[in-house]
Amino acid sequence: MTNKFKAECQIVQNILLNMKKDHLLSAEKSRIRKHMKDCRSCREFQENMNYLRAGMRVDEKLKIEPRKSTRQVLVSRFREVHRKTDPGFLKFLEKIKLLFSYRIPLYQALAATVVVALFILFFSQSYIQQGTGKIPGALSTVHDSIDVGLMDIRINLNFMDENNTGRNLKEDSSLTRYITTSL
Amino acid sequence: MNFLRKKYKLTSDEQLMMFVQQGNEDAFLELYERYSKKLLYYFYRMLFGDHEKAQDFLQDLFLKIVEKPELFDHQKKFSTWLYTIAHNQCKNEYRRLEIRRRFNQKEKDSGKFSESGNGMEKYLDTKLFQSALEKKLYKLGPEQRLIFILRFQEDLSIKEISEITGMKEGTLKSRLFYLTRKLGQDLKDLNPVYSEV
Repeated sequence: MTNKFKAECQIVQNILLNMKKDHLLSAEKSRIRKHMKDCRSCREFQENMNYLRAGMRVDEKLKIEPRKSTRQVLVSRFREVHRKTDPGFLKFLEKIKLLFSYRIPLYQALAATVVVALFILFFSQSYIQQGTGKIPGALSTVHDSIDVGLMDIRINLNFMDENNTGRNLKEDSSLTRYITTSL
Repeated sequence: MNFLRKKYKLTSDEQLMMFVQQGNEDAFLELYERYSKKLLYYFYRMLFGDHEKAQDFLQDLFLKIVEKPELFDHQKKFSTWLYTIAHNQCKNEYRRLEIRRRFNQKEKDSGKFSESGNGMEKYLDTKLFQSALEKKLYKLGPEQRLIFILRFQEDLSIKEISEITGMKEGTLKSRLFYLTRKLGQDLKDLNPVYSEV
């Protein structure tokens, strides 16, 4: 066997080893055919390859199907992992969690103060709206002029009118007395 | 919802994987449809014909994709990456089996390996050759079995197998050449003689 022939054997066997199913170029096919006519060992090699490949083909009778439960498990896990949540909101939640997880009392005290302040603000607003507070007689005009809400208070004090000094001395405050006497 | 999934029929595996990373369920199911059966057969043969174990391994493999899709490198081919994970799973299983075998001190175990193919015996009459080939395959070393299955069953190229196993292409070629020769000679009597070229 000449060196040239051996080299051709190697090339052909390389092609055979590398080829995918029925994916040979026509040039390669003709090269192989030409070589096979004269080379018994390559013929045997090709034969071996072909029947080994055929032997490895998946047997149709061997009905192996992936379990149906596998698919269900995977889908539910996928939904769990990729649950759609707003990343910004999640970050915010994480920060809040972190804040409350600190053991420094200052943060807790601050949080408590804010909560108490909000509580007071809410109740003081509802107290004025309901009008349950007793206002001295001198300020009755002030009381009358309160519409709704703290921001809309309009004060129209007319201290020139004598009737505005209060219904009795107890009701009259020292401030109104001072204003009326000075004027 | 199958009609919705049809839009991914022409999408490449790598693109599908990108959608999976973004949380697209349909893309994941398309990948599952494409590879589940193939991989099941792969595991079945790599794990000595143990059907139940092959099913468990398949589920584990896809769970890994669900939980850590970000591990996929888009520069690589998806099938290569998938078979690399499958290969590692099998390697771990071999290691586990080997440890168990050593602990049990049962020399019969090595004999059992070749006989433990659950379904193969049933087909001995009709598929004598296939059965004999599988038995031969189970007797091979794990590495030889792997490259043989990847080449002849999964039809992966030498380059792809090289990426999966980390072996050099030259080494792979010579091993495959040797294996083809050896198995060809061993199974000569059962040779049904096929010709494709």
